Amino acid sequence: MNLSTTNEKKKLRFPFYVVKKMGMPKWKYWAIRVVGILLAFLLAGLVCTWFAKNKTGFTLGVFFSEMFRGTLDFTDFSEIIDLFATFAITLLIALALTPAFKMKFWNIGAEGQVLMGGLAAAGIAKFAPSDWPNAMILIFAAIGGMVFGVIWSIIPALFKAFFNTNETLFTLMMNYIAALLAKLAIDIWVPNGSQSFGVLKQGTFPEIFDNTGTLVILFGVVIFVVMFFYIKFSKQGYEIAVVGESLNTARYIGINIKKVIIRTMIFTGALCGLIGFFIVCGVHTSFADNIVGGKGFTGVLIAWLGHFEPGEIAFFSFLAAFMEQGSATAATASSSSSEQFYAICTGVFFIFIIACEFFSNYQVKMHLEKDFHEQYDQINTQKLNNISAIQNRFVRFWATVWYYICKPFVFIALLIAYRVNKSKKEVRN
Amino acid sequence: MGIFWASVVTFLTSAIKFSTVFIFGSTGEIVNQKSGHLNMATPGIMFLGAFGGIIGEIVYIAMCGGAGHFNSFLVVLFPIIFGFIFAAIGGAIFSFFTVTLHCNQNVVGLTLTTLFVGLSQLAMTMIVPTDLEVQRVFNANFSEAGQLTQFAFPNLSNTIILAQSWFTYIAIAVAVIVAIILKKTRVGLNLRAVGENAAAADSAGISVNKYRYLSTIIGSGIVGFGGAFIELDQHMGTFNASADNVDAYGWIALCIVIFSLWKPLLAIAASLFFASLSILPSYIKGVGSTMSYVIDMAPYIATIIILVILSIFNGKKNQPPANLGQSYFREDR
Repeated sequence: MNLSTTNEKKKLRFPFYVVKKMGMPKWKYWAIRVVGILLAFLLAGLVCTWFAKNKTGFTLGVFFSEMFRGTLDFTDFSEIIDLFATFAITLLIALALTPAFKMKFWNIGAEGQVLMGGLAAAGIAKFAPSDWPNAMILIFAAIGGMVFGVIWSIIPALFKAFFNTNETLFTLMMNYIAALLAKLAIDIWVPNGSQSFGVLKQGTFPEIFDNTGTLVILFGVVIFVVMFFYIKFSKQGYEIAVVGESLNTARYIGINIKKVIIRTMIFTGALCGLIGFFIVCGVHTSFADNIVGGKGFTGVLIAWLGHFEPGEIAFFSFLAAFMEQGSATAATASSSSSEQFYAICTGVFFIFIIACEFFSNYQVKMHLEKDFHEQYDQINTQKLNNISAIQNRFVRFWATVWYYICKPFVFIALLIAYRVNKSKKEVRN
Repeated sequence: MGIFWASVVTFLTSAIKFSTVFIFGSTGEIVNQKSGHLNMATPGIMFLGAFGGIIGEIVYIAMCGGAGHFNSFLVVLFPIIFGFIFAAIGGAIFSFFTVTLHCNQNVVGLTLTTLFVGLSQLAMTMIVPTDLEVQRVFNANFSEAGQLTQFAFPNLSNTIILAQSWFTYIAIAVAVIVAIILKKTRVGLNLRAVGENAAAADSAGISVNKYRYLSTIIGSGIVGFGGAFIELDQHMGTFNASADNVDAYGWIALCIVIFSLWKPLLAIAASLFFASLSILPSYIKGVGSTMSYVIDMAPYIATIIILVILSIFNGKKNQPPANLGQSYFREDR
């Protein structure tokens, strides 16, 4: 029995609550992520094998071995180059979005910008006069790609800078308009209605190690280094960070916010257009409306989940590229559609990373009985705080003695006296 | 001239029928967005609803054990209920990640839409229907359920309006009910408050988490109705992975929400407009596939124009909910 003077009714409440964490040691942060990634692979494998259960012999082991065989097979060098080319493209898209995101400009239109760059590059590569040298066609295609990418990214930027339009929805819509423009363009260029562009005969990258993607990897490394220094060590990168943190601070320092937004989006658009040129002329040597294949959206997720740091973005891009190529191989082995396997694997992977984000930033606590009583004991002892702690304990000890021992004795003694008195009265009568 | 009017009648009938998906999708998404959730997982949730519709059909066929025992009311009820349940589960997952785990809504939405689309497509291709003949009878019952054509006089407008299935009437009724709840009831007022300024609503005693969870679950369920309808009515319960893209309707539903300024009654009109625009190319002769791509762009361009106009003419009544896309964590300052 507690002697608290409060009369609280216990409320029904959800037993867990969430508290923000102050900081986390780096090894713990990465340990959570590695465990999450392994669990994600396991769960994705389980889901895919469960859905393919009517194909005989497709067990979990087969799934993983197909994944590794399609990507890191050291006997087939061309596949490794494919893997690293996809890695380079995903990394570049995420890096292109990083300045925009650091500025808190939620540009999710990467897919459309890359596609428009690819559209320009494909058009130039297909219709350039055939007596031009290959290098010249490539240079013009690159410039055309960058111009179209800039056009596609400058429109949302202008409206955001001048009218404060919601850029998330604007860029999202531009994605779908770009996809339809691509379909329209293919319809115009290939008028037989088959929607197949065919392999480019001119204006493709030279084949090194039997694969056109090798130069893409080289360019990817160069651009990664350039972006690393741009974001972290240049004056413009600093201005971007300040505009992202606090608009008022930027205005106070004297940074022209409109100019920063427009300049960053020109940069993003040019880089995305260049990536489109790489995809069309380097990796695929063809063009379709699904040539970016969701890498734009994955790039958005990687950039955000990598906290806009180039190192973390590289780590996640490699895993995403590995998963993309591996799930395609596993899907063909089980005769399912590779798009669906890729969607499931990517979705599960990113859900686990999001959950790891949560566990790094917040701590889940339970409403425990002892925490509850501790609170109330503190309140009760505060009520007696005009005497010292020893006197407080003295008072409580003797109060316990009185309530539990003396008072019952007194009560029983009075009762006996009353009964004795009553019986004495009866005896007299 | 008679042929012309007959084709106009068919055009209007199919336009109204096709707009049902968009009415369901945009009404559900309006309920989501009014509480502050920019739910970009809606296309995936619509796909989950389609998946639920097929599951409901299979369950009902298995329970009946034959084609002759179909009750026209249950034929419609089972797919609806399963579509609602599956889509509501999708909405619950989205709100778990957004409300309880405080994650960025854009990131969670994009991830979940990819996951749900892939999962539903894979599941639907793996599920092989048992008996095609039974399925055809089921679908015939489904499409004709609720058609009040036996009450129609030989009059043009009656033929158009009364020849729709249950779902169209239910869609319009749902949109009207949602509009009334949002504007005239206490619950709707609280929901709008949570979407405009969650901190103020929390200090007034409204439970922000409960409103966000419930509105996302119910809104996603309504979107799932649309998915179940489009799967069973247009695609006849079969699924062809390369041709059917239910999630495209989901993205257009997102556009319609913005185009209708977050008002369900305007959403009905906007859905009808976009639906008739989509099926217009097949009714006009001499229009190639090129023109159809340009017409397909119309919802997205219209949305962008509305977005720009809204931001220029900053009218107070037509803005998006102010807390759209932001999580609420009470301990944050």
